Amino acid sequence: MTAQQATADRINEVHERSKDLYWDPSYHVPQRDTATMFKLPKRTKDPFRHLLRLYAPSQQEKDERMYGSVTDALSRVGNRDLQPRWVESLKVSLPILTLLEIGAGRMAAILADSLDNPELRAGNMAQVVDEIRHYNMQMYLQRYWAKHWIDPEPFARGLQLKDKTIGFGPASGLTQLSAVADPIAMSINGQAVAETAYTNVIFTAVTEIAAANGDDVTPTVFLSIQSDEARHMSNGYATLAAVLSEPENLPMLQIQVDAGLRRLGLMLDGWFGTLYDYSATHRTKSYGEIWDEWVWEDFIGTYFGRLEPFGLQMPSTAEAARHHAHTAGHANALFNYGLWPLGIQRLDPPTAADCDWLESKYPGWYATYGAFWETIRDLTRPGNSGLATHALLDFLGDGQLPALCNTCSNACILPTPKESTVRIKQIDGVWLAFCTDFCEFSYVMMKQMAPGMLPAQTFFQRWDGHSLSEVVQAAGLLRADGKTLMGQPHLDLDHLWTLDDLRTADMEIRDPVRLYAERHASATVVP
Amino acid sequence: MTTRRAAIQQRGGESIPGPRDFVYITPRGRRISEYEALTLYVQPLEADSPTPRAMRSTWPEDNTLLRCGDWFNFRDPAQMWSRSYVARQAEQERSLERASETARAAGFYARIDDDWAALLGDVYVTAGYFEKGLSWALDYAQMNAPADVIGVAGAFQSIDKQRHAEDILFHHYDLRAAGLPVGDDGRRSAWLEDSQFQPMRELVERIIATRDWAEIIITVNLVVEPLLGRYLFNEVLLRQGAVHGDMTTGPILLEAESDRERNLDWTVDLVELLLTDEVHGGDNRGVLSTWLEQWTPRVDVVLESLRPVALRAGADHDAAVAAVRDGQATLLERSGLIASAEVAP
Ligand SMILES: [Fe+2]
Ligand SMILES: [Fe+2]
Ligand SMILES: [Zn+2]
Repeated sequence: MTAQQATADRINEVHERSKDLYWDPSYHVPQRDTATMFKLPKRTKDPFRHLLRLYAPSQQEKDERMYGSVTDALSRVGNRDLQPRWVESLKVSLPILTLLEIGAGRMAAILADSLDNPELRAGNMAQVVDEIRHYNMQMYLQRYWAKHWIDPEPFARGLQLKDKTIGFGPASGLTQLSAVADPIAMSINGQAVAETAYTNVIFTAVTEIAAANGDDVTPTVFLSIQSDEARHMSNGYATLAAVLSEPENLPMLQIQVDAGLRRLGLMLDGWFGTLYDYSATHRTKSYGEIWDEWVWEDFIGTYFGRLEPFGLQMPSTAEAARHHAHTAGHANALFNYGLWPLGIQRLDPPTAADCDWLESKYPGWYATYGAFWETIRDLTRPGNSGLATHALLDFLGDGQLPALCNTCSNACILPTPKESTVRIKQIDGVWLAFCTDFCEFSYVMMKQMAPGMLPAQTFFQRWDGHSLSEVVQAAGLLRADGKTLMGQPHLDLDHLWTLDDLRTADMEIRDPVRLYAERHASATVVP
Repeated sequence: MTTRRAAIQQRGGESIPGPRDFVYITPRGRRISEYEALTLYVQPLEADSPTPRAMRSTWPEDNTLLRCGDWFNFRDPAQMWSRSYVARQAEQERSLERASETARAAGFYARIDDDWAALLGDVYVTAGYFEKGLSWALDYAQMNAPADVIGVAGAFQSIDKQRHAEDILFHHYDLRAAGLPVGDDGRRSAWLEDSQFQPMRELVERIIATRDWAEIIITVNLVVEPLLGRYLFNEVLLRQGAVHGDMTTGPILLEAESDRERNLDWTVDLVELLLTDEVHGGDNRGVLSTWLEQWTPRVDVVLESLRPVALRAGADHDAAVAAVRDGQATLLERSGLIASAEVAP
């Protein structure tokens, strides 16, 4: 036996025995809220070989390389053509990603704690530590930009302000996932859909745009994160495979897969679409192209192709998910720009050249959105001819803010404002808005499983009756000087909007769901 | 186009004035430490979240009996975040790997006497389950902690325990490879059936089944580890190993003790935070004292059950128990849970 063989044997054996360290408690059986309804085989294939003796040194090496490269990048920064439009978009994206990591960590912890299967437990234990690594890295990036960017304050306060901004709603569902679902459903949503389908979209594909726009630092961090995701994808695949090995799971599993693809899309596509299609100066691919490549072809095609022999069907929601992915970013960009005072980012509206590019990637785009972007080009400076919010309401036609979905928090202007699938309904005496039939169905399902559940209070419900300037003040969206707004509708370092500027063009937030209910209620009393 | 070449960090470059660090953090020291910057407030305050109140809150406040005005006020005195923790683990594992290579090359395994080797197989290998069980309990505790700073400390301790359990398996392999009579199997049946270990298993399972996350952390770090952990690993195995010519187990036990010390340390700080809470300090003292009163006799039962092990190892059971009790008293005194007068000899 060679020395190498001896080393391998030693590691194999220790690894095998490490999985024997789990046992079924019999003196005191742990009762968890998170027990799964799925049938899980006692043993499965290993998603990954986890032994801390090997894991720790390899993670340390990755850390050293990553943090070292960031330091190197700093010395090159003056020589790179760093695009403000791109860096500004990180003010929103990095806090969202931080939340995504913490949600993933909690999910992995629940899986490690509650899945009666040593292989899956071990894989998830390691993921818990990976996700701590990831949110540390996301915070490191935010601190980096706070230290070095020409506009530091939104980076210095982004984490604190994220929940106060209008754009954050959909992603905030990410930590709630872990509270909602069966652990297996959680793994399907989180590890199979979010990590397998979507982490490449953000941590791999985004690095190209970042680099094209002069940012070397974000790719360094993102690629290092992505190197852990292979393990998390294996956790998801191993879980799916384990659950699939028990045929009785199939119907429930199919429901979770179908819903998971749609649910994650509603949380992520609006934000990602805006990031890809509205935040780059030097462009690479469109979000639609990226989504088709990673989610449509790789995930829905190849990944599910491999699972079909086990009885799992291609998600029935695939077409709807694709349509959403190709449209949500535009609706989101429109909505966020229209409500820029309620954000923390300096937004840069599409130029004529950007509009051409958008039309070339999304034929018909100009007919749908062009008019809005042409109008607001004259509204970026304060004290001039008005506020983009009014332009948004004019553009939407009925002079009202769009309803926010009580399930997913998206503005109900999906797939486009004109073709909106919004439905406003009374459920158990409460008026609620849903962006899609999917969100309505999800709400009804959740309500069935948890009758005591309270609907979300949307941003517009929270601030109903307050003016934009009041919200900016109350939510802390003012800068340290006490007068300049955190969010801005242009990239100029001069001509920054102040609270006084906003007051001259102010507007009252009126919750469209309340208005609808009032109209409806009065209609019913009319004889 | 409105874009301009970024003036990032260039002298004289235009910029919008504003804070250049996370102003929402109140640092413990003079400046915001890296640990504080990268850990604090990543866990969202749910009251701020605009999504539906789901079936249950992700981090419900009532999943412990303790109350705290601000759980985010906790700081790990060792300031462990992922990078420093991973670096530390990597160092530990490298040093253990080196130690076992050296021991093999120097023939140190051969100097261990057979009786001691058999005891290592029977007791130390089985104790891997004990460590794994604590890891499991801590995993549950950490994910339910209401603040990231506490959750992270708990997650790292869970990994410490997992690592020690794996280190024991490596050691078992090495002892066997050296031809020592440590037994071939992983001692699963000993852990599950052997009457010697049932009090210990009963205790660990009781901790795993505990629903109050803070009770798990307090029980493990103020009762189980200072008494039972230190009794078994330090007073019996580490101390007596030396007597039996064992120079190989010591390095593993020392690393485990160094983890233990770190984890007991932050727990002392956590207790301090809870006791000095202006509103809830008094109630917290009551809850913590109750936990100590409930769990100490349970641990005592396990200590007593290990008397034969001490005898077999040639250790003085009563002296060992007295030593760990002293250590625990000092710990409780440091945390403010007992007054120094109560530690009278
Ligand atoms: Fe992650
Ligand atoms: Fe992940
Ligand atoms: Zn929705």
